[in-house]
Amino acid sequence: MKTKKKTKWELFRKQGALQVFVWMGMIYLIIFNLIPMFGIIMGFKDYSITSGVKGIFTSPWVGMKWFREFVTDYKFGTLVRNTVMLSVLKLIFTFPLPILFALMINEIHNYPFKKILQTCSYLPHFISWVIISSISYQFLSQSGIINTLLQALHLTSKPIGFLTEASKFWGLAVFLDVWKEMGWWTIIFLAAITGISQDYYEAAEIDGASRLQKIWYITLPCIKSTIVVVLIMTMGNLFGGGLSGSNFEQCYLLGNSVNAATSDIIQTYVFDVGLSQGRYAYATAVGLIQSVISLILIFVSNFVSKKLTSQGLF
Amino acid sequence: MKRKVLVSMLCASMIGSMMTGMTVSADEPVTLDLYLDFTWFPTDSWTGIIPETLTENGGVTFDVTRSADDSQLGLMIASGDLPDVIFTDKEIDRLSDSNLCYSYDELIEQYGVDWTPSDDRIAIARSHNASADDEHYYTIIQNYNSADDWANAADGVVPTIPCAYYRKDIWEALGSPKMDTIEDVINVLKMVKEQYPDMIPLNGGNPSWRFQAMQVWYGVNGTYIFDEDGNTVLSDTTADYHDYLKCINDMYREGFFPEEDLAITNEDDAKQLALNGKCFMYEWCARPTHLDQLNTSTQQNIPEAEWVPLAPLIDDSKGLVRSNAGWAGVFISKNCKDPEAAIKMIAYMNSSEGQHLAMWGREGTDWTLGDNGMPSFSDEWVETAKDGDKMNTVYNNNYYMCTTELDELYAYYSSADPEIVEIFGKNKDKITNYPEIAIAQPVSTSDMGIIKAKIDEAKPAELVKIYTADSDEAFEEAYQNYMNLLDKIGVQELNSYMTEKVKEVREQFGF
Repeated sequence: MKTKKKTKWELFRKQGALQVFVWMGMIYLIIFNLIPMFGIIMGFKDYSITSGVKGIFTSPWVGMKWFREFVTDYKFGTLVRNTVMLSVLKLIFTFPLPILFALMINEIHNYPFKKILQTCSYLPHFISWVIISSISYQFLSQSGIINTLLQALHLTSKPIGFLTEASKFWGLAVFLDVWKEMGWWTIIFLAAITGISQDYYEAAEIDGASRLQKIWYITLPCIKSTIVVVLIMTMGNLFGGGLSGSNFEQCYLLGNSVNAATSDIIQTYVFDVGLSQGRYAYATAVGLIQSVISLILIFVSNFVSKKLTSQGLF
Repeated sequence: MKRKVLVSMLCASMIGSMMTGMTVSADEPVTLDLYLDFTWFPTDSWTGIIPETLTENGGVTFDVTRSADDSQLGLMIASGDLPDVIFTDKEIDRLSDSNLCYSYDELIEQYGVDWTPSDDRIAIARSHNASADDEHYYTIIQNYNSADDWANAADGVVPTIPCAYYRKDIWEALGSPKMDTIEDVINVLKMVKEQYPDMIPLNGGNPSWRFQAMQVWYGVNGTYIFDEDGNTVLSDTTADYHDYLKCINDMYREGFFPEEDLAITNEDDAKQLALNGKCFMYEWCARPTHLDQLNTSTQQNIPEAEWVPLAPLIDDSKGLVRSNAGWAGVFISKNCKDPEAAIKMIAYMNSSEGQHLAMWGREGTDWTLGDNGMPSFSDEWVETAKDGDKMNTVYNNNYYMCTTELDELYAYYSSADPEIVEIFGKNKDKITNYPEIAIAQPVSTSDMGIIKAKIDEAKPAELVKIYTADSDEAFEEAYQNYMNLLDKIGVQELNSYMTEKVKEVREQFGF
C-alpha cells in the first residue's frame, strides 16, 4: 500500500511540467466556466441585479415562468428560425471549405506561392468583426464601391441593398464568415495532412494512383479523426456560429431594423433583454435554452460519429 | 554622523514634499469620472471656457467618457462597474435605486449642502424609483419647467419640437412653390425628385428625429396622446397614426427616401448627407442655432447652399402633444470616489448661477440679461455659435446636465433672426404640454414597463415593413400585422394603466 502511494507521487513528480499545464487549464475552467454555472439558477428565479451576487441565491423561485414567457413571445419563432438557419448555412459552407482549401494548398508544389496563399488566406482571421462591418458598409452600401461598380457596368439599374434587404443577410453573413475564417481553420487540416507518412503516397504512386485517388484514398482517411473532432466541436457551437462563433458579432454589427427579419437571433435577443432592458433572469433562461440544445447536439453528433466512423470526441 | 545628517535631510525633504503635495491637492479640483450615455453627444471632453469656469466655481473637474453604444451603460450596471457620475436618459429607472446610486436627499443632508429642489421636481424624480416604496430621490431631471415658468417665459421662444429644414436655394430654383400644407410639401418633394434625380428629396436618416416632423402634421408625435374619450393611449393605436404611416409609405413609393436611410443609427451619418448637398430636406429639431450650424457647415462644401426651416406646424397640422417633464438626469453611483464633491458640484450646477453659466457662459463677459428676459450675448459668442465645432471647442455649452428647458431655449433664441423665430413659432398655439403623461409612464422594471419595452423593441422593424410596403394592400397588411402584434404584447393593458395613472398624477400634482 505504502509502495503504491510512493509510486503515484513519483509518477506525479515525473509528470511535473505536464501537470502544471493541466492544472492551469483546470483552474481556468473552474473559475471561468464551472463557478459561473451557478448563475443558471437565475433563470428559475425572480432575480434583480440590484440584489447583487447574494440575490442569485436569495431571490424567490419562479419555476419555469421565464421559459414559458420566451416560448410564447411573439419573437420566438423568428429568433429560432434565424438562429437555426444562419447556423446550418454556416455549417454547410464554412465546415467543408477549409478541408477543401487545405487539400488544394497541399497539392501546390511551388513553395513560395503556397506560403503566400496560405498567409493571405488566414490574415483576415486577425481582423475584428467591428472593422469588417465598417469595411462592409464602405463596400456594400447603396452608394458603396460594389454598387457603384455594378451600376457603372450596367449589371444592375438600381443599387442592391446588400445591407438592408432581409433576404440578403444570411448570404452576406456566410460569405463574410468564409472569407474571414477559412484560411485559419485550413491550418488545422494542413497540420493533420503534414503528419501523414509519405510512405503511403509513395506506395500509391507505385500502384499508379492519380492525384485525386491519393486525396480520396489516403489524405482524407488519414485526417478523418481531425475532421471528426472539428465537426463535433462545430456542432457544439452550432448556434454560436460554428467554427468561428461569429453569429452574435455579425448580427449585432450588421443587423439593423431593415434586415431585422433575418438578423435577429437568440444571442442578440439575450443581449438586448439582458443588458438593454435589465431582465437578467429572463435573459438567463433564454440563454440556457440555447445552451441545452447545444449540449444535446454535441452528444448526438458524437454518438452519430461513433456509429458511422468509430471515432468520437469522448 | 554624516550619514545621520543625510538621512535627516532626506526625511525632512520627503515630509516637506508630502506636505507640499497635500497643500496643492487641497487647492486642486477633485477629478471625477463622468459618463455621458448618449452616442450623439456633441462633446467628450471637459474643456472650453464654460467647463473650466464650472470647475473653478464647483470644485470638480470631469474625466468624460461618451457612450459608444446604447447598451454600454446596461453592461456597466450588470458588471457593477459604474463610473462616479452618470448622465443618462435611458437608465433613469434602473439607476434610481439605493443599491446602485446615492440618493440626493441623503447626500444633501449628510454634507450640509445648501440646495433644496422644488417639490414638483422631487416628485418627478421619485416617480422613476425602481422601488415604489423608496422615498428617496436619486436625480433631478433636467430640462423641466413648470407651467408657471412657461407662463412667465420671454416671448419668442418655441419648445424643442421636430422641424424639417429644406434647401432654400433649390426651392427658389424650382420657382418658390407654396409650402403651406402637407400637399404643398409633397408636391415640392416631387418636383425635387424630377428635377434633381441625384438628390434624396427627404433625408429620413436621423434616428433621433426620423419622420417626427410628419408625425406633427398628423398630431401623433407624442408617445401617448388622448383619444376622443379622454383616455391616454399609445399614439400608434390611433387612426391618425395610420394616416401618418400612409403618408410615409406614399413618400417611400414616390422615391423620396431610400430604404437605406432607415438603417442609419448614427445622427452624424444622416447629417453628412445634408452637409454634402445630397438631400433637399433634413429632419432635426427647431432651433435657430441648429439652422446656423447647418448653413455654416454646408456652405463650406457648397457655397450657394442655404437651409431654412419649414414651419413645424404647417397650416393643416393637427397639433403637437408634448409630455415634457424633463428627459435626462445626473446620478452619483455608489462607486463614486468623492460623493461630497459630486453632490456639491451638482448642487452648484442646479443653482441659477450654475445653470446660466452652463448654457450661456460667464455673466458680464459672454452675456448680460436683456430687457426681454433673455440673455444678450457678446459679439464673439454670437459669431462663434454659428460654427458648431468651434462653439464646442471654445465655449462648450453642452453640459446641460442640470439646466432647465427655458435656459436652453434662451441660449438658442436670444440672437435669432426674428423671421426664423416666426417660422418656428407659426401655429404654436397647437402645441400642448402634458407633463403628467411623462410622470405617469411605467417604471421600466415593472410589468407594464416590460410591455412598453417589448413594444419599443418590436416597433422599429415593424415600422420599416409598413414604410416600405410596395402596394396599398401590402401596406394595410403590414399595418394590421403591427396592430395585432401590439395587442399580443399587451397594448390594451398599457393603455388602461396609463389612463388611470395619468388621472392619479393629475390629482397629485394639480395639472
